[in-house]
Amino acid sequence: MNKSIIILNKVTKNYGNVRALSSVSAEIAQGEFFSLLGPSGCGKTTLLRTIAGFENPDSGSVHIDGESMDGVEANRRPTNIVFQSYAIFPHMTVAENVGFGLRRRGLSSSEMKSQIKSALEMVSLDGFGERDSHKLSGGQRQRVALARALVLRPKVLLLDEPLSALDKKLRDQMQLELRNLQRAVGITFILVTHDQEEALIMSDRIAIMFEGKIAQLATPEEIYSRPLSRKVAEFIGDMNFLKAEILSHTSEIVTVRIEGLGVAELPHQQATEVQDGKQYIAGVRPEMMTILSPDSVQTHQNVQGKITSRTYYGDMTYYEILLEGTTEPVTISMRNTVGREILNEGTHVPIGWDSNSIILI
Amino acid sequence: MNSTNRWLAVYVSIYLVFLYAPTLLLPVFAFNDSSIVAFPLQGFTWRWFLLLWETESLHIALRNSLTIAAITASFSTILGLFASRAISRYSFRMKRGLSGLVMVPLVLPEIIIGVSLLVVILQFGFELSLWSIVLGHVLICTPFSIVILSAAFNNLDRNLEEAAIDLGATRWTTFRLVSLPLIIPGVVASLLISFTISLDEFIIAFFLSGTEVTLPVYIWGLLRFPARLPSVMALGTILLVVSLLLLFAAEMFRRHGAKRIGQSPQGGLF
Repeated sequence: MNKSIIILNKVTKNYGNVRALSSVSAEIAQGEFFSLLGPSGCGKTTLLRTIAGFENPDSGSVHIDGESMDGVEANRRPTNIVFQSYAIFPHMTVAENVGFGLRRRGLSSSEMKSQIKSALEMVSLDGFGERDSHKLSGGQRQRVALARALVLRPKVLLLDEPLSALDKKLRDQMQLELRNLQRAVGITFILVTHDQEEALIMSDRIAIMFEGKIAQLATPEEIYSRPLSRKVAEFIGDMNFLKAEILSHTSEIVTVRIEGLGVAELPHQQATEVQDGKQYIAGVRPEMMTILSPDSVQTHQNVQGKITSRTYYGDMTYYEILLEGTTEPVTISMRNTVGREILNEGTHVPIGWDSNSIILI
Repeated sequence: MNSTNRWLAVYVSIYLVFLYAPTLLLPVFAFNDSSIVAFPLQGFTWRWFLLLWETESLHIALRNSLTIAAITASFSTILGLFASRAISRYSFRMKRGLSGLVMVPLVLPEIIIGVSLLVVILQFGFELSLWSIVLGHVLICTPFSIVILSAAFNNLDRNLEEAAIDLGATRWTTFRLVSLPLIIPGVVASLLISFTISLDEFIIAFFLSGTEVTLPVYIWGLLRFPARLPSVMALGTILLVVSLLLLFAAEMFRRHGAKRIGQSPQGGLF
């Protein structure tokens, strides 16, 4: 990991009796695409605004590039922000918007023009400089907001739900574009989002937040496959939860009885903490179980189930399946590949699973 | 058309007649060639307007009124900017109570303001002058400015100001380059309203004017001489036309401003 560009140390913020941030600590690396992910009201925007300098923490500290930001106003910080509403100045042209931050830098007018031009090229808006900014589309406004911030070469670019106002297709396109842009400029991006898919696609690391605290800070793969808590698992993707009990454990293997699946031996690192006889919850992603064809080899790791309902998504089919000996159905997703038939409700099917795909919470 | 609609139409007609008929009488008698303001009309004349042109005391009163109105409009708009920005952007102790207190002159009878200011000014040994009238007018106009400018600030996306600061601007630059251009229709409305209020305010001006009078006080003085009544009508006609032109100009300005930043010019006066 590169050196830390931002160090948050026990940042706490209250609004009256509401605790918006509760002793948040994190280190964000130089050049990283970092996401703050969580439901609305989890404190992610407050944290972003604290880094930007629009909120002062009640306690704790923010360091940017080794310097304490204590008492440093927003206009003196090496950060720039792209607001959710984009906050494009409606009475200025595109070029005037992009050049707004440059006017304090004492550049010659030709130097300023060339910087504005290259910033607009960077976001594929070349030739838009003289347009009235209020006549732009949502996607164009966002590009102007990006150009306006990036032209100042900030050490950190802060993005507050930048894609939430765009329609689905444009959003998908912008996710990849933002990611590529970040790689191209090498500036640290901090993205606030409530969209887990967006965070997974774009981020190097994700901090998932609930109620003013970071619940887990890890890479997208790690958060998806090894969520530290049921809450994190529920927020990121779908997950089936089954009651589980640890029968015995060694330093490598945990033997566990899982409702509906039977006894399994899991690698030790798949459990958060281990205590014999205690009740746990086993989590399995829908794509980590599979419906076996009736003539496939029967192993000990398969159980019988009955399809109670199915939902067809085109590329995928989601089945609700009641495993033998359980009362709540589990969800299993199957890719609709060549030759795989869509099964009907009421069909009895063998279910295959793998001990590596189960986590204990 | 059913009978309810017919009654509504009658109601609206009567309402409009009561509202505008007296005003329309102004130009009618202003051009009537008779010193008695009564029907039947006697023929067309310009002489009441010529009389106004030749009456120097009227010119002085008019100049006083315009000066007072201009200064009042500027002061109350500046004070209104301070107050409405504080109210719409910051939270502070006793905010509700204080902002309520600032608005009180809106409902305070002007005669009370006039009398109490008179007492205070005389107690402190100051001379009554045009400035004492300005003082009273700023007091009653500022609440209007605050109401208008608060609406302007509330319509202004806060993120725009934060974006400017984020891009390195100071608070003053942010106000100058972002906030002010976007609330300028509100500023113009505030200037116009307080100018108009000050221009036709009588009670406070009556109490606080020393030797120099304002136009309403001057007109009131004229009313004691029936022979001068037609020239009052002529004066009223001029004021009416000027007010309409001002209103029209302000509305044009507002619509133009709204279009310039891509808003549809809805609302407003027409």
